[in-house]
Amino acid sequence: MNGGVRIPSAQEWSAIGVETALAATIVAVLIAPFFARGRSNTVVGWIALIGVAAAFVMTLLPGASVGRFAFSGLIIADPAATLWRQVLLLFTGGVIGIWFASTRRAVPEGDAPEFMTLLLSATIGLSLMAATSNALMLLLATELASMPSYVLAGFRKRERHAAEASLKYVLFGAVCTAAMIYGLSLLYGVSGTLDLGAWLTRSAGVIPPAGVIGLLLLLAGLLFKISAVPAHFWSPDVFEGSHVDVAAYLSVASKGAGILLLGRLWYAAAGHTTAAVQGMAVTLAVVAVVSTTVGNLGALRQTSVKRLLAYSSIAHAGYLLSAMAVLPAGLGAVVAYLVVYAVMNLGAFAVLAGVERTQGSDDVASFNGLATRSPLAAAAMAVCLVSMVGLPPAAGFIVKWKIMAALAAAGGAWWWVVASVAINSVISLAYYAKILRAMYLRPATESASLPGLSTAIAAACAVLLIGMLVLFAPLEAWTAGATFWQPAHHAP
Amino acid sequence: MELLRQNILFVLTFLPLLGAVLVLPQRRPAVVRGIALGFSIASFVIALVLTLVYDSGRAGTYGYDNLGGVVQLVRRVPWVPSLHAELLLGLDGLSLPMVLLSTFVFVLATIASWKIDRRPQAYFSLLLLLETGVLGSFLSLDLLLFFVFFELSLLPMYFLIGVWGGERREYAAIKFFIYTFVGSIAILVAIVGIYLQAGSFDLIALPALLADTSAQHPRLAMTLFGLLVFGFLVKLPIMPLHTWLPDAHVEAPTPISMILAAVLLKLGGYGLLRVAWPLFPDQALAAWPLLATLAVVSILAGALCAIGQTDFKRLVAYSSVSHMGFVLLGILTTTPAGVAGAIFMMVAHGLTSAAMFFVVGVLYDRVHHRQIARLGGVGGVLPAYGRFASLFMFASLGLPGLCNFVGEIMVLLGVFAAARSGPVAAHVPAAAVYVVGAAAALGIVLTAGYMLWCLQRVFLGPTKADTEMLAELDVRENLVLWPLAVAVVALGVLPWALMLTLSDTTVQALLKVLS
Repeated sequence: MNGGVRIPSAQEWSAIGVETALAATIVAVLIAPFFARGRSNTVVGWIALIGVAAAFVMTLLPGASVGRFAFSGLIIADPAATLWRQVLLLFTGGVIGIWFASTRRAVPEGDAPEFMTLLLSATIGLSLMAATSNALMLLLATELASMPSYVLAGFRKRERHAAEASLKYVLFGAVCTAAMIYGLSLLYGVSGTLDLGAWLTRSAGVIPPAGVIGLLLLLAGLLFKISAVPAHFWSPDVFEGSHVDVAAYLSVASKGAGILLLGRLWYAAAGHTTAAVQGMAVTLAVVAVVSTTVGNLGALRQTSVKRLLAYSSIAHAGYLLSAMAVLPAGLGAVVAYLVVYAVMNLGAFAVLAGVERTQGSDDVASFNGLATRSPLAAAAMAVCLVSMVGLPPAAGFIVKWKIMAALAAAGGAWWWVVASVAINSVISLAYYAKILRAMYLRPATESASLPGLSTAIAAACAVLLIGMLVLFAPLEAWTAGATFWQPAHHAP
Repeated sequence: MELLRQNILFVLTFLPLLGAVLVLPQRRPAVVRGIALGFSIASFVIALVLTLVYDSGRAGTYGYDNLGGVVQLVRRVPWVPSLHAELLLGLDGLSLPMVLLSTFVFVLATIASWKIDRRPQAYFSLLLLLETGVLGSFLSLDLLLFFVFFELSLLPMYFLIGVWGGERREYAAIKFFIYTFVGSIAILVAIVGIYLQAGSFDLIALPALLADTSAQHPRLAMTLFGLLVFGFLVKLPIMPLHTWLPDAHVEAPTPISMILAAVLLKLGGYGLLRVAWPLFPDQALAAWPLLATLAVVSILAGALCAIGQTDFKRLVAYSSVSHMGFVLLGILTTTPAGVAGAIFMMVAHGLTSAAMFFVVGVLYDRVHHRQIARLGGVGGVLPAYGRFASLFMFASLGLPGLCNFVGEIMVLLGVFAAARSGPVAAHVPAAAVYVVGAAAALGIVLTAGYMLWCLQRVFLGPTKADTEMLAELDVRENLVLWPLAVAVVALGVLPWALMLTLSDTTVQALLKVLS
């Protein structure tokens, strides 16, 4: 590193293999329409899908998750980052599947390249968010994820809802980003380094007041991505105003990346018994409990399934954060929950996409009689909803169990958080059951069955959810391996 | 053969599930019913085979048979290695009567469902799925697995009430779902706590593992016991947690009412005996005054509510609440007679309540309402039906020679025995126990009162406009009523040979754990 241009080594390339593949795909997506006039939407969709698959292959290459720095410490390659990329890419593939089933026909011919470019750019950002603890890099990654998301939220250009959603999203995002940048600047002033992870490890939990304020401001920015209270207001409006595939994408991808970035930083400090660290743990727990409660109570009154799922995603953010508060012990629970959450949300949104396309509405009432119209889709939706409640026979049960067990293991006052999770599960049953009721107990208003593709995606998710409960051991082994790499020695 | 013997409990548990999958793609309703009946009969046959295979004469500890215990046919397969959770099934004198009862009632409920013509595939599939959930709950000896099966019985019931029920089915179904789910979540939290204390889910090993906890962390142990009991009392149900039951029963179709009363309520009683009591015997004693009060309140208030009902089915539903009070009371006595009586009472109530709900259903099919005031003289119009109904009503009110009598008298004997010796006598003043026993005995009188009054209003006296012309019982209805009648009489006449001998050694072993 003697100045001038440095050629990255092969090892370093492998640390950003996913992002490279996605960037190459974006180029292909933008060029493709010139060669496929008239059918560009379909062709572009397939190219994006292939690109995501190629990026997934990159995560399987040896050396992608050995646990090391790349690019002077800007990127960390470790098992947690790799697992998140795998989940993210599989999920993005599913979202593109939903796009094929719904939006592809709804957007004018020629809009697909823009849509896919935005989606893939956001994916690059979200992928990088989980692979860094460097202040600059995490800011860049977060913004790279946010900017395309703002546009995606407003992609239904001619609809007032979409414009409103997008504007709300941008304004909220701007405020939260500003808070985050201010926080990062404070942290830089306190620590004198950009490598926040190393500093948090080194400080052994002793953090000066300015640093605590910086961390809280940083947390505010991340809570925006996670859509947790108090930075959750955007999500119901954005979900309602945007295409169903965008809503699905934001519900999982944005939340997961935020969770992992927060987890990586917090993991470095958690476990110490200093006042600053304990205070942060309590802060996280309070945010978690309030998010779960606000999300579930908010969902009770919704008639739009998109908004309902938005509130449900706020509640799930709360469940995730509650286990996050008891890091390092709760890490396995967080990761396992995230994986199951991605599957159950993908399935639910796939059915929603199908319903919205056939009925032209995302009202709970448009699910009426789905069990007679599309028995398979209804059954798959039922499994996903049951999983969200946390009931057997779906994997949502066992991961909720893991969260409760992690909290209870911390003992003492953490039992109140366990109680909050338990009570909230009951509340959530009330609104998830609204959809069950519509599907199974109400007569159908029309007979059109759902598109085969959305049914297929949902059915695959349902099978996976039941499979993950019956064969929980492989899932647990996979998620338990997803640890954050902690460098043994940090230069003081 | 040895392989089958080893896995027979898995076969029994998952056989209905196979049936549930097989009926789904069938097009002809006749084939659907045939498959469903075939699988439910096959399950009952396996349960009968289990009765022969299970060695009820072998006395032992409350443990696995390879260690000299009473739990037999044990089979364990790893499930969640990191939690040491296993697919662990086993059979003892506690589960065997429940398995026999469940498989028997499911066969009758399948026959009773013969005329369901609305989406029969889905109906019978859910029915069989429910059977797997129930059998799995009774046979699981792993606490987490027990909970999974316990919950598995929840969803099918929601749909069975919600889709095939009466006018207010949506309300009744969601009320049932939410009430039971609240109970389940309490149980789940308790399971988390138990696991953290003991590091195991093995229901047979847990009593020993938790012995330290109850001494060192009495408050935690009490909380966990309270959560478990709350969950199971909702299911049982005991007043004041019972309000879901009358609605669920009234709205559920007849066969589902039969299963709900005969089998699902037993999950609550079974849970108390299998989980709550053995794991926290000291806490159970400490909570004795409260729980005994609840039991007595259930017995008396349930009976008083039954007296006041104008709807025949609601009356039967409240009689369930009253009878379940006896089950709780029997468990509370912690004496051989009381606990065996509670188990017997569960089986006896299973038979009589299934029969009573079917009796109500038969009448409803003919007159299309259940208002007692508009019924009368049915016994004269339909003599055969009247005889069956009278038999079951007499059984339900505890006439000697019929099955409920045995259960009630054993529970009462248990209560009076508990006042003199045993762990309860050491904790609670004898006078208080006698009062509880006397109050429960008063309950029997009240039961006789509302049952006889109902019999008089519906079956005796002059006919009314609605009951002048009624069709005789058909073959299908006879096929349900006869086996129940035979069972009700047989258990009343030969209680020891048919049922108590199965549970005797286990009750003895269990009581050693409880004291």
